[in-house]
Amino acid sequence: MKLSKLTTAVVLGVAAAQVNAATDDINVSAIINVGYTDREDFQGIAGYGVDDHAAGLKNGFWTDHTEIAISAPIDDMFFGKVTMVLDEHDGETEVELEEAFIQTTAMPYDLSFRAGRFLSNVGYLNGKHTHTDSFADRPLVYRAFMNGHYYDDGARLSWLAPTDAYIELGTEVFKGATMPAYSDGEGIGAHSLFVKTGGDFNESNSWQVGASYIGFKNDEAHCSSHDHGEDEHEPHALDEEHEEDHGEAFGACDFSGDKDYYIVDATWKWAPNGNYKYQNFTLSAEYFLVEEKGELHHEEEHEEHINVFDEDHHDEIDVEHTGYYVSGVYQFTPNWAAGLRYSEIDFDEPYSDGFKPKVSTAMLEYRHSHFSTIRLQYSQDKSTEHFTDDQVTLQFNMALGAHGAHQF
Amino acid sequence: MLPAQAQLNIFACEPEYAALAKELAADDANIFSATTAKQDPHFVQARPSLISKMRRADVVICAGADLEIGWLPMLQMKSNNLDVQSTEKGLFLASDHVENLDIPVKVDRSMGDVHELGNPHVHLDPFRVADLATAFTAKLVQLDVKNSEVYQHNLNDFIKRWQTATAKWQQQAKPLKGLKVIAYHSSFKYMFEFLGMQQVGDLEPKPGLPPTSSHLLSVLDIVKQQQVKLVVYTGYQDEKAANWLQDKTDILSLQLPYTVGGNKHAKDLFSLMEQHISMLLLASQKQ
Repeated sequence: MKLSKLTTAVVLGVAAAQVNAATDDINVSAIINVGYTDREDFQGIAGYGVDDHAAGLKNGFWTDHTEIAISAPIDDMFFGKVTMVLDEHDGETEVELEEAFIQTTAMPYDLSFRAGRFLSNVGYLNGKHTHTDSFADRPLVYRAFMNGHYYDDGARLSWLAPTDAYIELGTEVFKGATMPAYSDGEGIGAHSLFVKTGGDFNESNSWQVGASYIGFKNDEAHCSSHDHGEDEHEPHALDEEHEEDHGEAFGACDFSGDKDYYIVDATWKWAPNGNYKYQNFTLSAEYFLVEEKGELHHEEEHEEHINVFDEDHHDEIDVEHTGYYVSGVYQFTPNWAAGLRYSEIDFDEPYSDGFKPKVSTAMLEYRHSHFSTIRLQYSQDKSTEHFTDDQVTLQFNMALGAHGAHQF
Repeated sequence: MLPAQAQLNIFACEPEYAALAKELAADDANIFSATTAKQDPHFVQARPSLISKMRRADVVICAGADLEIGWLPMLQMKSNNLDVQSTEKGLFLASDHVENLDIPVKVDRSMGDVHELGNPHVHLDPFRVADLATAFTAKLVQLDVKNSEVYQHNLNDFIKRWQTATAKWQQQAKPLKGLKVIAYHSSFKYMFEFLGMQQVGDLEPKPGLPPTSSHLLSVLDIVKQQQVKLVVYTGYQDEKAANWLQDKTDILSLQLPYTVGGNKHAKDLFSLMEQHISMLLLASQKQ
């Protein structure tokens, strides 16, 4: 009896060891991101055409952006990663494939190539997973212009300059199939260029700056969005009386033409003697210049006899928006961090005639370990004129499984 | 293979491995340490400067056993350097080459930030360091065959000096045998094993979690019950918990260098070990 038990134990032990050996290099991780938000319904960002993702956190309980990721070296030449994200829209849970890419690990001439679906590397935040953010939602400027974050099917080539200083150059081409891109889907609907550099001022202070361009060729005929309500681009009953002074609200698909983004980003990190465990501070900022050249669709109400009907109009537009965010996060003990963020957008007409949407955010977070964060966040949201929303969020952001390495 | 006359660029994750490389590499090698003795190697940022350093590396030498899991894979990915992606080429992970302590039978996160592959702080046991020197020399020879005689000569010279020193340390450390100690994290486990010391408590409630007041009260009980005289920590760990314990009892709080550069006398692997032993001897005599 004893002997057979021992045999079973040995067999199990061997089996477990084999499983370990086979899965050694495969990283499986899940991010559980749940919380509760108290806020008013999303009313848009000035009159700009945005998708439902731009709304930020939903009112009440949410399980937004809970994700499962699997990554591993494929062989000595390739690395691969798949990320599935669960998102909710109108009460339905949707599974989105956010990443499915291969990347070379051993190309000559300091080159690296990535293909598949992945997050564009423009800007500072876009290439990062939202669960590594220091705030519960993306800054206003990202929600308005990047739909939170821009990922798509495409390819990237990047090159690390053979210099003592870190200089990375990269270019990407995308299909243009996910917001904020909606191209005809045949060929290349978006392309980008970016350069990043950085270094250390000294042992305690490090920095990184980047400049990026991304251009979209959008066509309203090929747009499908999670629009926030079918009739959103018609004036709300509530808004009607203000119609005159704050411009028209447009849908996410109302623009056709070229959208060009120019982004600069800068990040500074400090930790005493470079020891990040007990105390550190991160200051980061990004500035967006967005040009739209093309046609803007809108509906105009006409009255003929007793019939009232909407007539489609297309106006030529050539407009320029700017926006930015600045955020500072101070981790003052291994367990506690606090942060402030401000984001503002200056939209051109006809999306806004002078009103600048802005959001101020403060957060306090407790990290029990490297893997669990509980965050309390307050935002004063002035996304639409004549209305200020006080938003309070309690977020639980936790990681199961493999401990991923983080970007600077 | 390297062209003739080329200098070997060695990227060390921690100062102790930069020091090991300095003993064994050819004179003209460029050796860079990614961290200092003041930085906890668990919490290093994949900084731009480290990416450009790794891009140029011919050899990357690190502790391994997932110690650098939060940053090394990102540096490898971003550096586009095909020479340092795998241990078959220029990557050398120390804990692959020695027997590791503290390998858990079962790992789950309720245990804290435990390393599945065991305790990665392998550089504080002189016997293991000798094995690492031999293994790392093999790596240098593999990558730079034409200098193999230089490497073999350096290894022989190092081993001879190291063995003499090890014998001396064993002699000196005799009074430390059986000495009970509280430590911060499992940073010194390998050295305690070499010196025959006994770590009876840890200031961390679980690996990677900072000391809590309730946990420190339980450590206080251990100190009282087992008559522990010494609590040790290192430069990148917060001294508050150790000092609190010192205030509450007659235990002595001692900051050890842990790695090369950890104090002004710890200039290489030899003086590091000498520092540890002499500081521990002095502290144990004070009691």
